[in-house]
Amino acid sequence: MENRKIFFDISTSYYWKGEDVGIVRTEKAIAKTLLNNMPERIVFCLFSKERNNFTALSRNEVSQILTNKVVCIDETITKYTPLPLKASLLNIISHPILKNIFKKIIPSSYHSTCVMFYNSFLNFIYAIKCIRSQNRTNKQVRKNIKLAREMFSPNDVYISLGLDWDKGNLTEVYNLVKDVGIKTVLFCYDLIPYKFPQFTPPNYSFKMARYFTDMLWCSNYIICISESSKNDLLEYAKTVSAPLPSLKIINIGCDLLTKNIKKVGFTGRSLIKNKDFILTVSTIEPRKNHATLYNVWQKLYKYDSKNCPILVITGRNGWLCNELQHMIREDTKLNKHIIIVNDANDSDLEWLYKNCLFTVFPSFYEGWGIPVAESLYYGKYCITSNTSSLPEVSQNLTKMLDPLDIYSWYESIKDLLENRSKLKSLEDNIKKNYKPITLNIMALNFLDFIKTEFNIRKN
Amino acid sequence: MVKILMLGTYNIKNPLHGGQIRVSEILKKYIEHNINAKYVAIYNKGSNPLKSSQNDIGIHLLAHKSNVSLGLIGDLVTGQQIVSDDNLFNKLTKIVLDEDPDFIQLEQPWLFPYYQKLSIKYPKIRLIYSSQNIEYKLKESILKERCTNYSSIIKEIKDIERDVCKKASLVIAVTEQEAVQLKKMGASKVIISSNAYSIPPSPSKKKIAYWKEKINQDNFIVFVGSGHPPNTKGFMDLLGPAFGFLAPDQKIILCGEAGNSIYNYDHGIFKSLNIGRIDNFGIVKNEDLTAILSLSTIILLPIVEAGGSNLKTAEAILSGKTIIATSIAFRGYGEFKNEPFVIIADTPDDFKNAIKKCLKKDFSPNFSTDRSGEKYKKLLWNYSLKNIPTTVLKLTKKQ
Repeated sequence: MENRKIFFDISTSYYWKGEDVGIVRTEKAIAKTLLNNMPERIVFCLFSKERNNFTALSRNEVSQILTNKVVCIDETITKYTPLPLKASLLNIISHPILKNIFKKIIPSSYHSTCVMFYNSFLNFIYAIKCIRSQNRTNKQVRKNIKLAREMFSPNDVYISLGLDWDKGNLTEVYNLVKDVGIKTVLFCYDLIPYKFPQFTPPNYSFKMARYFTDMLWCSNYIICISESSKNDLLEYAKTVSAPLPSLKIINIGCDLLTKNIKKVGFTGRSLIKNKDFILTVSTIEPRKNHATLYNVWQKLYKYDSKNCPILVITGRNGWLCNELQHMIREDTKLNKHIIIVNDANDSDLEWLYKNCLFTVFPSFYEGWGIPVAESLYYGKYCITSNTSSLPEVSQNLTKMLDPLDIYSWYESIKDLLENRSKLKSLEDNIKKNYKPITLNIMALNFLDFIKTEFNIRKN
Repeated sequence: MVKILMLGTYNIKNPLHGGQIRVSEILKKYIEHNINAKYVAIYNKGSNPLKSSQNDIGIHLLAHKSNVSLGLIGDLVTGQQIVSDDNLFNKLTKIVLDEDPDFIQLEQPWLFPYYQKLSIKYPKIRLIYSSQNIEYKLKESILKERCTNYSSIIKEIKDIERDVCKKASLVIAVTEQEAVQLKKMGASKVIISSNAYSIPPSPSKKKIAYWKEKINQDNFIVFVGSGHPPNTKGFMDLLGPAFGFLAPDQKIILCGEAGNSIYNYDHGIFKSLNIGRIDNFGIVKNEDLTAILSLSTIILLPIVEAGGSNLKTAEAILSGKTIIATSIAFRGYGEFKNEPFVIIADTPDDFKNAIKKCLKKDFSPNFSTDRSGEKYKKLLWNYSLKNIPTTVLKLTKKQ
């Protein structure tokens, strides 16, 4: 199979807006590694939902996507992509100094309304810009768009590790497998929407169950990011009577991408500067179980109100997060001891990890558990749940507790606060024994897998 | 001329489900034999507002004392209401007296309370009981899944069934096994007339072309069923909870009211998956159904409960297609169970595996599709019902 091409679907990175999250980082890291190691074989492609087919990308376009520069591929694909004007306006408002001014001059209760009006204004400008540039954009439509069927040959490999459930690419992928005979490698991050539909937004789990099943039908290989996810996928395949492809495990990497971000400017930094604090990092949503931490902090406050530690909850707002945040903000005893940071960038996160005492992660269920890996990467001890993949990511270097056992969480946190020498020795143990899985290591593991499984000896 | 007034709890204007088809075929058979037969339906207006003939009586059913849904026991309640409501009783009795029948033939036992009350004043009208199932067993299997307070209902049905057997001059059973049970319940004379099928006229080329384009699958599976709850239950028990055994481009074609029930079934987390793997056409006209069946490659008979015999089985056998069915589906058609075109699968895994196997590209059925042989004639109504009118005529001569 010397002429076998490797198609890498980079749609998720292309369509993604905002800070790169785990899946986008994973996709980009692997894309870069494959590009560097098999440049002649690799073909990057985009899936267009509107046209229900794939488009091959030029190296220049790929490099723009990988470096977060806005690119225009064609009119259907760029329909919802910010043009430079909108992007630049977004960058202006996202600047930490402007953000702080905005927060200071406008009362907090009007923030969301202002943001809504600002976005509407941007969209209005964007619409005008789109109309004016319609002709120019049309000229940018690539003349050499090839239909998927013509691009792919039997035994070519198609790799997708992005948000396939949103992309809607699997029907076409299945057709390519069936009709053309391509080989496919897809990713399974977790089965949480199936196992715990209560932790996902309404109707999301329905869509995901269909996606998981189609994924099983479409794949020759599925890369699971943990043993736990692999076991969940095995159980799922049995339940739905779907065929089982070859399952491999490649743990995902976790290093923060701080090179391009210099400023540390998250809201509330002044409240914790030069103070001891405990950090928890994750999207704020019910599955992450911040409620346990709130309950624990009530106990800690009751035990010693003067020395009650600070908990910094860092993460984007997920769904069903308002009630808990309301309770924390309105809790006159605890609202100075629990600080919620929604706007931390990677540099902020790095600062938080480096300066915290230790981290806590009481999540009910994970596919991998990046915050635990990040904590260990920065040499910080973590008290984590004992569920799902968390024992794997922990490498026996964390304390693992039942996420529902509030008393144990309280005791363990209090113990670390009162026993700093113990905390120090636990950190030393991490420094000595932790084997980090960086994005690069993960990408190289993936490269090895592709080379081995598809018998690619040289580029 | 012998006169028979047939009474049942559903109309037969456009016969769709097995019971309706059977009744209309029996009626036809009587008429063919110069028997003056008429059918009157005492039906629930709430569930079926259509009237099949002038004589039909539509009634608004009142709740049963157990509060069990009328959708499950409407037939039983109809029989009770017709005797407890004097107006209804008199209305039906007027029809009976106008017809002046030699026999009242009850389709299923539900209207036996009416006959019982009528015969006190008019003992000369004789009774034919046309059984379709052992009803108390079937009802028990339906109710036990859906409610708790059903034991007294089952006892009521059992009593009615026993009494109708004892009182009837002739009992018509659909299978040999049921004939034995009906005799045990007190029936003195039992004949067997199995469920069957009439080969419909071939669909037009236009219809075939229409459905071919609409379904757009070369190799597809069909399930046809009425709204009878066991049809949905059987399908979901054997193919559920998730239809992930079907590839993303494979769909099961559903026809009949059962299709609507399966579509609206509570699939839970597998809702999107399951809905994506079925194409529900609901109730379709006979010509359309014939066209769909002719294009299909596999017919499913996932029957896990119910008594009687399933006339869909006769239809499937005569279709010339591969059949995936449970053993229960072949009750009454035992001699066809080992035919090469029949795959018997009684567990969910076996059923799904059989479907997967048949949908594979390389699956090539190795059997003749010719169904003109002598043994297949038994599957036609013309054959299966022939002993009913002759037996009835003999009964009148004896008298």
